[in-house]
Order: sequence, then C-alpha cells, then structure tokens
Amino acid sequence: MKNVFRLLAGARILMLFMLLEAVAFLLITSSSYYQQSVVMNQLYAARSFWHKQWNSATQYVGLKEVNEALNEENTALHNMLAQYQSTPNALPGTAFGTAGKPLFSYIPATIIDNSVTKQHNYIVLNVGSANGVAPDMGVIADNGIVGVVTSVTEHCAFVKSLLHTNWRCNVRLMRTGDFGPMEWDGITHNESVLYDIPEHSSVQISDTVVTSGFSGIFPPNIPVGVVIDSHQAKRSNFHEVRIRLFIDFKKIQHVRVVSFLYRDELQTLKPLFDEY
Amino acid sequence: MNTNILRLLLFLLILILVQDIVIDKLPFGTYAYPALYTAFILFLPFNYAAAPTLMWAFAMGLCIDIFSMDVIGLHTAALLFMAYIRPKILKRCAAKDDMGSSAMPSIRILGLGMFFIYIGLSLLAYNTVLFMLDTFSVHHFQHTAIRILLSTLATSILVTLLHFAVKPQRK
Repeated sequence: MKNVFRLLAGARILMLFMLLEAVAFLLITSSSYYQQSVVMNQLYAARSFWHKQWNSATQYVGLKEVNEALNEENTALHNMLAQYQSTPNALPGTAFGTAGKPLFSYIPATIIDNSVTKQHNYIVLNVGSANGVAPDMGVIADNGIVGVVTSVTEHCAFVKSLLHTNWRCNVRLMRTGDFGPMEWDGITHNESVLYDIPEHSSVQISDTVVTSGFSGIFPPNIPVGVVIDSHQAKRSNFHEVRIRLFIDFKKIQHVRVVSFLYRDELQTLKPLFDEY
Repeated sequence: MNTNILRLLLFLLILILVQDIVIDKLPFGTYAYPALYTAFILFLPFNYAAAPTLMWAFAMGLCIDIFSMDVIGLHTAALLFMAYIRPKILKRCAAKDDMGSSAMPSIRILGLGMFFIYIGLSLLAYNTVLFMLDTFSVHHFQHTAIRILLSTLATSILVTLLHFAVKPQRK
C-alpha cells in the first residue's frame, strides 16, 4: 500500500507536467492564423509602445546610410522622370490601368520591431488602419519585397516577413521569364529559394529575380535578388534556384505598404474562378 | 518564504528584460539562439519542489512567448520539458547529500565537469523540444540538428557566465 502511495506521489508530478504541457500544446495548435492575429493584435498594441521607444532611440544610428539610400533613390527617380518626359507615351502599361489611373499606391512606414533569427519571422510597422493599411497588403522596400500584412490595429501593422518558412510568394526570372514560388528555407537571412523552375529553362548564375505581380499583392518587376546557385531538385524535373536577396533584413528600417487599388474588384472576381 | 518568491520574481523579470533588450538584438543568425532565461530554472535550489518548478517554467515560458513574437506556447512547452527532467539530471550529477540542500547548483558544489553535464543535458533537452516544435518538420533535419547543438553551446556559455555573476550563496 505504501508503495502505491509512493508511486502516486511520483506520478503526481508527471501528471502536473503532462497537464501543463497539454495546455502549452493547446496554445500552439490553437494559435491558428486567425485567432492568433486577433489575440496578437491586443498584445502587440501594448508591446509596440515599448518598441517605439526603443526604436526612436536607436534609429539615429543608421541615419547616414538611410540618407544616402534616399539620395540614390531620388536620383534614380529623377532620371526616370526625365526619361518619361522626353519620350511621350512611354509610360509602362504594367504600372497603370486601362483608364490611365495608377494600379498601386504606396504608404510609407517605419519598422518598429523585426527579427531575422527565427524560422517564422514577423515585422511590426508604425502604420495601421488609420493610415489605410489592411490585411493582405504587400510590403516592399527600395530593393525588394519585405513581406505581407497579416493584421492591423489602428496604428500598427503586423507583417509576415519574407523570412518565414511557411510563406511563398511568386517571383520571376527577369531574363528567361520563368516564374515560380519563392520560399525561405530558414538558413540565412540574406538567401531564399525559388522552386519549380522547369528543367529546360537556362538559369544562369547572377540572373536577376523580380516580382511577378500575380495576385495584386506586389507590383510587378520589383528587383528581389540574384541567382547564386541552381541545381535540379531531387526526384523532380524542376530546378531549385538559390537567390541572394538585395534587402538586408538586419538593417532595413523604411518600407512602403503597397495598396492595390483594384483589390476589392479582384476579390469579387475570385469566386467566379472557383465556379469553373 | 515570501521574500524568496519576491526574489525569484525579480530574477525572472531581469532575465526576461535582458533577453528582450540585449540578447535578442545580438547578431547570432538563424543557427544559435542563446536563451539566457533558462538559467532561471537551472539555478533553482537543489531541493526546490518539482511542482512549483513546473509552475515557474510555465509562467516564464508564457512571458517569453509573448515577448519574442513566436507562436504562443512554443517556449512554454520546451521550458516545461526542461523543468520536468531537471531533477532527474541533477540527481545523477550531484552527490546524494547535496540534493537536500537549499543552495543553487554551482560549480563549487557540483564540480566543473558535473556542472557542465548538468546544464548541457538540460539545455540539450530544452533546445531539442524548442527547435523540433518550431520547425515542425523533418525536412531540413541536419540544419535543425546544428541549430540545437549550437544553441545549446551558446546558452551554456551564457549561463556559465551568469553563474559567476550571481555569486552562489554559501551552503
């Protein structure tokens, strides 16, 4: 009898452990996409205060580089403008709709929290629904895509980073025109992998990769990175292409949220597809 | 008893803040994740009861989950596992009469070798659960394995440094 009690006393700890572990697993599994963003919204609204303070203290350190980058971009934009002004009707059709109206508008934003070391990285921006940001909008920087907005509060946006092992986005090889999904493999913060490039495609090292513009999340033809390695994937007829990203996710501070102006219209079109 | 809990709470708070403000901002890459806050569980006294250890692990895990923008429950599950097997590892590393003492497990009591075996095995258990749950696939297993080993090494070094900083109390 004594032994039974001793056994139960030992098992009590095991039972407590299993109970608490079960709660932890329940939390993990119930953190599904939607519930998580709802709960997280409240948490991040509280947390973002702290990170805003931190960010305002550290932001000055990188100002010199930011200024140089802005200056460069400004020059490039001036050059482009001059080119367009000199040649009438040279505006690229992709950036403008049929009625001559622009397809995309941009909301400038600053990153207030970011990580690059996890397998599922997220970014918090200082803009929210008050600035017109909504879930499923893309986020870009001057030199590539940053991620996609998953949820917003009034003054904050929660962004799934490109450095997220379960998120794919469509990109295109500029030279050959082949497109495929790009998915981070979780290894380093400046490389990503492009899948499903057909065997017959002549991928070369240092080919440029740009956004495809499918799905209206990102505008087309934004440079993303260059090819640094390409080999045939195991047991398949497709190339697996390793890309060096142009963005340095460790330093990135200023980004733009992409708002596709015909998004609602596109959403009404999607159910029509499903009928076929 | 009351001051003891207050002291533990303060230690917990400091560790979480140090982790969030300093360590998470260090450039370690995706391979090494130094989790200094595990020292909280590792430095609990030899005779600290198992049930409160688990409760502390649960509370601390939740705090870390909320602070580190990860899936809620991830660090909790890993920390709970470490807290659960800690007495089992400690029993094999410490002398029999040390197990009843209310001192913190230190190099002075355990000896250098046994101290490293104790924190090494505990952290290996912690990181294995953490990274297997985080990756949740066997796809890039070699990378996950490297991550587990490097994180265990990095955390062990930090925990040992902290061990010298908190000055183990005399028995």
